[in-house]
Amino acid sequence: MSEQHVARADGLVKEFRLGGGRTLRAVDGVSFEVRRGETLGLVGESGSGKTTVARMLIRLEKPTAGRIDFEGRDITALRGSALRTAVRRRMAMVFQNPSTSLNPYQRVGDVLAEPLRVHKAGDAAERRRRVLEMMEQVGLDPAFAGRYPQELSGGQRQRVGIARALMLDPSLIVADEPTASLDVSVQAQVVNLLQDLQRRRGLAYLFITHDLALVRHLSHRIAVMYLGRLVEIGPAAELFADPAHPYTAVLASMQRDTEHRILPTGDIPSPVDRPAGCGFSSRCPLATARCVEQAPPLVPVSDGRRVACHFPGELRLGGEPGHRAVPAPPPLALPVTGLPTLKKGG
Amino acid sequence: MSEGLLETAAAPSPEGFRQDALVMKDVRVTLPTGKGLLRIIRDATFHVAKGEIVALAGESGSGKSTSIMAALRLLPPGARVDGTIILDGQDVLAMPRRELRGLRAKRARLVFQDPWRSLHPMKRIGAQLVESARTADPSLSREAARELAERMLARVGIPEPASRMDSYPHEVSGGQSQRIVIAMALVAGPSVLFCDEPTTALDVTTQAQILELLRELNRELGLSIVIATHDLDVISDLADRLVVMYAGEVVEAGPTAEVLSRPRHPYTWSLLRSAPGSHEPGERLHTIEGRPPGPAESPAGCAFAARCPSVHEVCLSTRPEPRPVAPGRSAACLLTEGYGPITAGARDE
Repeated sequence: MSEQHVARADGLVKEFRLGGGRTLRAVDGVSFEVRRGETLGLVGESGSGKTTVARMLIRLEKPTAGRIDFEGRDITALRGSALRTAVRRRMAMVFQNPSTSLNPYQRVGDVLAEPLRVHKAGDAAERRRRVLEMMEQVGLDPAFAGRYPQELSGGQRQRVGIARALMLDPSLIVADEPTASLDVSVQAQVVNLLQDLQRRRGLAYLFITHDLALVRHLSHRIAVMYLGRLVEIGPAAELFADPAHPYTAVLASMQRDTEHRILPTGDIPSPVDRPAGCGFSSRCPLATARCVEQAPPLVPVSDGRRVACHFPGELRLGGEPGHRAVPAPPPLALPVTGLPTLKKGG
Repeated sequence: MSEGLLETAAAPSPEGFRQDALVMKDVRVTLPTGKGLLRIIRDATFHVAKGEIVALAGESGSGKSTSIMAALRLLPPGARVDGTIILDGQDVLAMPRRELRGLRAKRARLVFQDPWRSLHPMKRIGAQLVESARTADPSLSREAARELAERMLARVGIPEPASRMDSYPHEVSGGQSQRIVIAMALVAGPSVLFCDEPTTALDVTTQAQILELLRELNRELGLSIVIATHDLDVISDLADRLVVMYAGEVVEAGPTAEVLSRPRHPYTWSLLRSAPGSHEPGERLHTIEGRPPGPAESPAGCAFAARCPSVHEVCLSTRPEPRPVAPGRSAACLLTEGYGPITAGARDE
């Protein structure tokens, strides 16, 4: 059992104290596991609690309640050197914005050597060797070791962010929108790199994104959050083809033709005055009185799939799932011209 | 030079321009710096017909946002604009400053990417809408402006508009803020709405709602809309026409569905191919290696040549100009079918 998953969250709750004695429950009883070598996509609107969940899993935030297991060990309350050896060496985070998550006064080589230094791995020469080796692995010219982050392009900076996360040989990487600030063509390079690294090193990813096409592309399984709760989790293909929760259906419909899109009305409610029942009831086209009063528990609906809805699978999708057709390459013709270079070339 | 590419733009008669919300002809934006001249936009030509939705698509540095800023003459001090820009029938580059302010306040309005930064954090939403309406039309009474503001808030889908008028921007969500910013533009009664990445900061479902709203406004009010975006999915079923920009140049233009399904420029094709949605899940994504030339560089030939999968010798020395390659379509690629004979060598910079 413990060999199957690398990390597991059980009933995670996170409350933040606001002024005036009020509390904000950002995460409300979230349970899931990340399996070895898999990508678990975590999607949800801003304010749904997905980043807070990730930060708790990696122990950057302390959960208000609940338990986190990592590599077969309860890490919920670990501190000091135990936290450093059990968690910090084996989990790492890749942040959204490589421009702000890298120290502008540190050369790339030092950025990458720092985790080794902090964890007292090897001597200076050994650290240097490992930095250069890692740069090669992530496709960075070793000459960049002496450069500063602002001398690099966005894509290169994100490669540095990924390399830094890998320096201590982690088994789990939490990636929070790692490609959101990149252009499409650069994003493709970074996505390929992440997949190569996963295959080569057996890494597991918890991949947070709001880009549905991307999460569908990368993830083996997808977890959907809404207003601090997990509303559905299951294999990526099934979730998009046949969503069980109405909110998942809304998301999946965005990947279909316009006439089949389901647009929810209104906005996500504030977690400060969360509805008593289902969090999605205020926007759900299926909502009944029961949904407003009673929060549905997350229960299995089929093998490997769990959903929190009183009417799972009832909001059906029209149209065809699947990806956009790849356009044909542009029809090209050799220029008809009297240019000498072309005559020579034939 | 680009004869017949844009019928209206090619004929510089005022009659022709009246048909268009925006005409950009051979627009060049340069920025002199200590390290030399930066070429931000290189001879961009495109037009937006009245009542049309046109998307300017491109990656960062392509010049899509700068095109919008140039059309409104909102470029940073020191930037030099050459060429012709006709906005709502008026020559923007020849306009005195005061008239320009009037144009921006009333006829041509701009919606930015980040709605939070477009609203004054310490002023009530109603006051900001009233200010916008009365700047556009000083003869409007405060009461009439308030009434107009409320009506527009209702129109853009803000629930309980009357009470929202008294809210502060921090009290509303991101999606609502963007609706309010759009309402703030609408109270001026513009004929052209410029949107710079209007949904990039928003969630997927909110994004879809805002795009739907823009579509409705276009249909109901005949509003011409120019959207700069890096996300081709966002505009695939919103924009009537697509103008694809690369390294400060327009490389392809045409009806959106046609450009997306049958691109005529290798860059457009490469870009569409690199999107995750065009792949089987898990499959290796197609990439475009390398990066675009920076604004300080001036390649002699095609700006995309170094990254182009179909590059030919001639592409390295001859700079392509946008030419009609099919009805309603233009492309700046020497090799694309229908481009025709190459008559000149490299165009002068």
